[in-house]
Amino acid sequence: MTAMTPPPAPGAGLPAATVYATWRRILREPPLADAMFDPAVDDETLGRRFGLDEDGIAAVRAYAATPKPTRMFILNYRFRMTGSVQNALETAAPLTMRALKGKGLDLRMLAEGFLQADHWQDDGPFVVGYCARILDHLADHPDTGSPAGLRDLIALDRATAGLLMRLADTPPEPAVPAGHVGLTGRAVAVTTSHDLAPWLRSAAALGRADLPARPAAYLVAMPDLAAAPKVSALPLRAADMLAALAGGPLTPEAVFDRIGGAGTQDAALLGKLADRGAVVGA
Amino acid sequence: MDKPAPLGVGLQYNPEILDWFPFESQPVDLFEVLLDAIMGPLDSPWIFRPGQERHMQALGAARPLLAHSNYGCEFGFGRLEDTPAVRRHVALAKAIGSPWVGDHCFYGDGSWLDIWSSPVQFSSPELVRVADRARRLQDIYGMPLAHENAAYYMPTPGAAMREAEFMARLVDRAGTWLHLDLHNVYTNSVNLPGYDAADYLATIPLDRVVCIHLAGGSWYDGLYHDWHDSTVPEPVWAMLDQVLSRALPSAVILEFQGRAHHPQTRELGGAEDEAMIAADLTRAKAAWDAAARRHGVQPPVREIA
Repeated sequence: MTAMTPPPAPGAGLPAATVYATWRRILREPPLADAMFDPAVDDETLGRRFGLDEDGIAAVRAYAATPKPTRMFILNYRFRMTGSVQNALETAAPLTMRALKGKGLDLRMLAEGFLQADHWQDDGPFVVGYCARILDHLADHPDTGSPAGLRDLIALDRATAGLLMRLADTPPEPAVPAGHVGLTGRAVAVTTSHDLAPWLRSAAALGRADLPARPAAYLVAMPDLAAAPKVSALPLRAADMLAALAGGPLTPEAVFDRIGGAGTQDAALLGKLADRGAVVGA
Repeated sequence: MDKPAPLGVGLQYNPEILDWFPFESQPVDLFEVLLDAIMGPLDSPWIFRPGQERHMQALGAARPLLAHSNYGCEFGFGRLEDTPAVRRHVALAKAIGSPWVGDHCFYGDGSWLDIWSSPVQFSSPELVRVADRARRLQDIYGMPLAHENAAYYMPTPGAAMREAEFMARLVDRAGTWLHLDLHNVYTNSVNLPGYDAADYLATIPLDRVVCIHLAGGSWYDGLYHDWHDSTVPEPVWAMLDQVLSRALPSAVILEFQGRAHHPQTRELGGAEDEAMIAADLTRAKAAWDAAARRHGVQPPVREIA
């Protein structure tokens, strides 16, 4: 090695964890980023307004001493965050993503609106939870009021995100007594006020035209945890069966009782729910 | 752990240019795979993103795959066991049969899009903390772990030693390896006062360099950016020759990508950019083959797939 000469060191002695925590606040809090470059804001004001201690103030001042790269990284961060909204939707809500594109929405504008409301929070590797917050934001956003059915599709993807998160760490191991039927925990039923079938049949149609106002139900299932969730149409009576089983395993007869008596197709419906990985037993 | 055997010259398999660049037909010795692009979110049951395991098996059937971890977040301040590196990248690197894994000396934890602006603080306390995590992580991987030097435009406040000294002491203390990004060294030497590329190469232990990254960048608003959007600059080729004259790493990888970091990045695409990549690849292979012979290693025999 050659002789070592320390570089100029702004913020000498500052604990790294404090510096990192402060830097992330600069990236996420526009008022702090503005104040750090405002010559009228002194240290005392900075500390009081943003709840910074002595080390935090020193970290802010160290970053303020390199304004060009600091500003560039704030811009980079927001550019990357805006892109991350699209990535999250593609990962965990691909139907909604395609529908938003199909409608012709400005996705970057939509993303920036979400991020402002979400305080530029970055969930990093927790992409599904991040996607769920995006979907919650979109659920009643003015831009998703049309075409008819778009909000039902968002609700379907939101339920899928919830299923993914529930299955994240420990796959459920349902305990179902002999002669009973029980939920696997690997599926979720979603009822909608519009029939999503025209969109689900053709990805090119997603988000492009109003859907029929007709109640429908869908099953999102993950029998294979390594694969993408499978979405299929669900007879409303099968959805009722899943709702009946939400309280715990039942005998088939008890299931039929709870939904108003056995129909001629009910045993077959229960079999289909088992085939799709939604129930086990019996 | 021993230094992995030499593999040759490869390309980073970057999803941002997959839509136009014909990776599979390139005459390369290996592909570097970005683990973050194939990993499942931590709040999902997926280790691989759906479909990516099969995709990697197909890609790896013809050439070795090398694991590269950008967003492992292993040097953040939370528990190492909770990081994407441990929870996903270890399994992915093993699944693709990677001979070693490269990572980055950045901070990250429950967030990661700030990672490119957060190089580790080059200080004595951080050297001890980062080296401890690096050693533990290499043990968990069960394969050599090589730390990539960053392009960072401004050091993390509190730095008290040069980056090269930090990296040299890090691998010495942790028993890990170096992934030397020569374009990052060049970028820092252009942007940062007092940062000297020759001194950098004289300071780090070249025999610990497992892999070398080559790339190009662009000027914007008075800074030279590591945007991977242009041909490898001449000073970087000169550095490559200098390093290869003294040591043979296990691989040299070229990086090209899309508009990931900044709205002003040029988007690659088309015949001219394909020719640019081919020319850089040809030059890198020539440099590698010559160096391999000098070091007594038989250069790889290449066929166009």
